[in-house]
Amino acid sequence: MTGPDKKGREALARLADVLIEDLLAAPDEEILAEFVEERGDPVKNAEDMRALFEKSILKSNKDRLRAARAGLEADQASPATAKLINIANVRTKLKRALASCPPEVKLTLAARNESELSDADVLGMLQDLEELGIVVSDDDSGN
Amino acid sequence: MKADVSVRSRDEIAAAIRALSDAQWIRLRKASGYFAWVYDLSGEDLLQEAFCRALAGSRQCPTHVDIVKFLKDAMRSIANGEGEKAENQIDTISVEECDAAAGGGLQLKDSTDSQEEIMVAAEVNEATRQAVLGLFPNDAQTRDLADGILAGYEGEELRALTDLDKTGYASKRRFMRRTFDKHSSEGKKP
Repeated sequence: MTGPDKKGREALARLADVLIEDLLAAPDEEILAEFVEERGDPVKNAEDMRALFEKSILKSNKDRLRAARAGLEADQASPATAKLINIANVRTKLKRALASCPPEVKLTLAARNESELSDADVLGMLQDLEELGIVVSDDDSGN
Repeated sequence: MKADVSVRSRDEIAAAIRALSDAQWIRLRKASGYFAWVYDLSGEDLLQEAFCRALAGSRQCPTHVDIVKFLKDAMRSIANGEGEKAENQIDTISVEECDAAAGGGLQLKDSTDSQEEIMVAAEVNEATRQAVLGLFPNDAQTRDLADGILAGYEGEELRALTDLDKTGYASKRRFMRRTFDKHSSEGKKP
């Protein structure tokens, strides 16, 4: 590195802060008069700076578009995993499974009347039976 | 606890920037030039990046903050970040060099600054300080003022260092800024 190190830059940054503090506090007339003397036309300067700003807006818009596209592509790459379940079919399947499963499993599942169970209980119980290997899951059976 | 602060929307920021006066544009341009000088960057790139971050919302602008001050702070933060990046850059070596190092054919450099590097940095810092002070060859008070700022003095302490009354002190600060501006308008660095 050929420039000042961190310590040196911090010292220069303190100087820049003081210069800017005075620059912001100086009256407009003074700022304009100084610029005319140093560089030229303040109106032309403002035009150039506005053009730079408009260029920044274009760049910012392009960045936003790119980000939106990337987001869309990411959404398409990972479709929603939630699936719709017909709870009536699930209840029927559970009723059938409970009727045919071994007695010890029936006891474990604290056999209640299927119609008294909530939808969540039905789904949970069926999932338990699938995990015990008593019922084949729809995914495994290809249904 | 943080109080709620209302921030400008993207459109409000754009409208505020478009409405800047000629004098405000000059202030922004000069501020970008000062930071560009300190961090060895392009003033135009710095300003453009500040615009982009403000528009993207990655830097939020509270409604009560002056837009020029907001953009100035954004430029300072961006420039400082670039400076840090350069400072923390790790020396990399190629695969071939890595093989050579394993075989003892290459001396790997310690990532911490060596004594020699510290000495070189100190020399560069001192040369930069002398260049800044050299802008005021016939004005000991402005030299003291600039030197005091570089050393970290602030406010009343800084004024006391120059032995000036309030009016004289304000006048010296203005002279210092004008000297810098004239110097940089000629495309020179201190």
